[in-house]
Amino acid sequence: MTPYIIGGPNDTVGTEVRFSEKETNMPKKLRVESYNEAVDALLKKADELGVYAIGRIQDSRGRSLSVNNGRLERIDTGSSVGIGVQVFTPEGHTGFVSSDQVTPESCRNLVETAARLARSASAFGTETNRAVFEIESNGKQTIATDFKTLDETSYDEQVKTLLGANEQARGYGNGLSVRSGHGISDPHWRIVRSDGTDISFDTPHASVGMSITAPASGGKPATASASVSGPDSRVLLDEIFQERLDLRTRKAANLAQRLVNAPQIKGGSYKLVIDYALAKGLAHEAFGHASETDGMETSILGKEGIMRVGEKMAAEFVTITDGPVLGDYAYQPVSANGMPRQTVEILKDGVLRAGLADLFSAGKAGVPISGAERIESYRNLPLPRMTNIRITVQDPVKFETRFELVTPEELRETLLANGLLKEGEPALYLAGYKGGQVNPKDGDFVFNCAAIYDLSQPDLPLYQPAIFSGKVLAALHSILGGLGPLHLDAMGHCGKGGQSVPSSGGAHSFVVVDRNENVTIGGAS
Amino acid sequence: MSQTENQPIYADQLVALLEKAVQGAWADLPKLKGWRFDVSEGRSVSLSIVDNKLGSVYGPATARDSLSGGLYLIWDDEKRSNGSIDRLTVPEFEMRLREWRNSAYTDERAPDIRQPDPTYPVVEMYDPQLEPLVQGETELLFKILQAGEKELRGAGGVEFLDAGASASSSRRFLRNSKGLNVSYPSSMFNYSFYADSLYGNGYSKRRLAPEEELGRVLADVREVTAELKKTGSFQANPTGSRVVLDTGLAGSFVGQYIGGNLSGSGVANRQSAYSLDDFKENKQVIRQDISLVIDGTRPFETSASRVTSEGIPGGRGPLIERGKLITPALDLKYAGITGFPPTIGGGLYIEIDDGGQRQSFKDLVEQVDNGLLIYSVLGMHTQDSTSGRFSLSAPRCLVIRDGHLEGQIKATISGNFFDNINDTRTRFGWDPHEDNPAMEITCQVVVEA
Repeated sequence: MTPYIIGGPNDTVGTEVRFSEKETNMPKKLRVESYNEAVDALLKKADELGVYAIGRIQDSRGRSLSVNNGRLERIDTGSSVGIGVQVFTPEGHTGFVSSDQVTPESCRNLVETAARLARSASAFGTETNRAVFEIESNGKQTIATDFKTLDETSYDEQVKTLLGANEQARGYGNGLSVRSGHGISDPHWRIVRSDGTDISFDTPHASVGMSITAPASGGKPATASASVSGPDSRVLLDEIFQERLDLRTRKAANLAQRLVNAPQIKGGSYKLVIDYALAKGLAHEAFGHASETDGMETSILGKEGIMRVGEKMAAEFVTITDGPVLGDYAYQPVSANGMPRQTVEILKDGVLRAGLADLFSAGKAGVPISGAERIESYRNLPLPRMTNIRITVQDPVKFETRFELVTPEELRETLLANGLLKEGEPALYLAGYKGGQVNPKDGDFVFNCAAIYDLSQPDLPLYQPAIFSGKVLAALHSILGGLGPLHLDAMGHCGKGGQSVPSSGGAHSFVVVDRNENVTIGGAS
Repeated sequence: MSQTENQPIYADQLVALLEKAVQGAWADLPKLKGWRFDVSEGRSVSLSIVDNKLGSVYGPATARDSLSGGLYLIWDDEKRSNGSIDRLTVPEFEMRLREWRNSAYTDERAPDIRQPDPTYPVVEMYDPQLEPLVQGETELLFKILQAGEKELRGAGGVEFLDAGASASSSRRFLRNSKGLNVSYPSSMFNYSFYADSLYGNGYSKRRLAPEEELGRVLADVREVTAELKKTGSFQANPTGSRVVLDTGLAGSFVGQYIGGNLSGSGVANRQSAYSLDDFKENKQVIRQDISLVIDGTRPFETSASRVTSEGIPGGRGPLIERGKLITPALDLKYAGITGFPPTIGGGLYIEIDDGGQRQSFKDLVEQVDNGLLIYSVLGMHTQDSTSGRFSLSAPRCLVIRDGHLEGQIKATISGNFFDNINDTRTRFGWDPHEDNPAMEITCQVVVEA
């Protein structure tokens, strides 16, 4: 078995994690492969009715544990099976139905209902799309990972380890309150199409998180968090992950205690140094969504519906890439329409090269299909969206210190030594990603950090988190450089279209963004 | 759809299987000592306009059937299990039972199964007029969206319209091993319109909307969107600017910073701005004319609730009364831990003691000499509710000058909502079509380029 690296190919400075898939006969049997009769009935009925059908079967199992201040709060188990059926009339009108019954009879009924919806919709002048009739079959395939399954994961070991991690975190300060959570999800998918495509795959993912609240002690209570993610229970049980989570938890505990009495930063535009998790936020919110082709008619990366491929959008040393990484929290090898998921260099050397394109909008946007469609569940309709998005720069400044151990002081010294910061220059170091939001139509984005350090002061005063907002293109044009190796494990969830799907990505340890009037830190007037 | 009004087949089958487990039908497993489940079965239909396109691949006419819910078990050895229920739970019961046993855990503070209450409030939650629509007569959804398209894109000058309309009908089955047996239908009807990524409004209740409601919603979207397309200018006050939070946004602030700190688990585990002692002492935490109430009794509102999944009857009661903490929001477990009664189900509502002189939203805006009106912000989900601090981007704020709206600007706003809700300068204004008031607060504003 070939080992692979979740932290990125250049992540060789101590935080690297290698997963070796366990030694069993691959590929494993996926649960969705047992629905052959239902699939046959679905496709036969579609053929009888003269419509093209796409069926999306999901068989998902999950487990979550929570510990609060040393006590096991609860364990939850869940399972869900269902199918979504989207049909297209020859004219391109479409209807969608979903059900939690995956039987031959229910599938025949679903196709009938979807076809009726599609045909009745045509009377109201609904939009047509015939892209499904122009693609070729991707054949019958099974793309199965072989990570630890839920059946191979001991509850007792999970409970004991999570309790231990929680207890340890509570010891990192006086009166700390610590909530710990661990979740594993093991969805199996099967996408079938009228053109004979029949692909089964799995997208396992797992995480451990710590939320640490420091008591008020004269100020207001403050909360900071730490997490690690990966494909299975090893994120909790493997020593490498345990050590990484512990380092991050120590940092979060220290931060929460210091934030209690930290002042508010003065709002305005500054030179910014952001860590890789925030850089993932920048790539995701400020650029990734705008590159999704379903919104190209209104995206700032589009002109009259066509993606502005070939235009310069950032400095020539900046590249932004999105694609699946095996073992990553957001791994997905095949799209929700049965197309292979491509790794796409959206921006290459500062020039817009390609979009995150689904079957239905790629042609209109003038870019190739990249298999970017994802869905939260069988109940949902596919939308193009990111998996693992990362910003890379050419010739990043060498920075060997392990990311979790970098202090603001060392970062400041490195920036000064490499000409990325001048003594006394107004500049802020933003640490820790707390989520973001974007409006791709006008390019407004925001994201929030966990802490702000003033790099213009040698004593690096700490300030409260503040919103980082701006315009997509302004932020990209302002990237000055990067420091350190690539890290690709900044995990989160993306809520586009009301569907929550895992997302992740990263950048070099730190990215420097020049002062720009269109990129603002909120704060005091 | 297999669900019909008087046909609780699935729930009965599940009860029979759980009772078999109580009797010890699976000899290698411990017996069940108690159980509870809450399952809903239903159908929904929907239709969307995405980027001006009606019924496209991203928002076609859609029908969804589902059966889902949750289950809680107490085993003979006092261990507990939490599991999900789906269509396969009954046919695969033995396998599921073994999975639940494998995941069983010890929690000495976990609650027992609750005895049924003598009565549960009958709150109206079902509109039979929606049934034909849910069963496939979807013409109304098309007509609503086409009316919006005509009004907003045709006459209203809207360039890009996103909109959605949906209806659903379901039946809930709540049962437990001590005899709780509550079953009732409920329905939902929604539509919304979002113009040029600037402003949106809609209707969301458990019954069909009155015909005139659509015209009111569309007029509001058209008028506010037009205002948001005018350019304005604003000079922020370094000591704090006056900012009016629209009704929906004010509700988000209250939910995030006040509601978010009332969770029983958060309070008991010191992960809230308020301590358990604060509740025991009825500490004054917000201004004394403000109360926060849980209310599940409002007919046909989305917040209507007859009973929680644990069997706590619906009703109405304060969490904060006249600015004083009354009780955290508690499930059965945290009710046992904190000593307060469990909390009823329902929505969170703000009540203001204004001596009968309720100020309108229109009057609130007209009394601002120099400030901003904000309908939406980016980044609320990234804020730390325990500290009360906020730092948010408002890409579209309307400038208010001498009570009149004068175009839009982009700004970030920051401050501390705990201070705002205690501030004597904070004022409220009511829109007759909304359940919660708009708020005028004073906070830091940075105008962006």
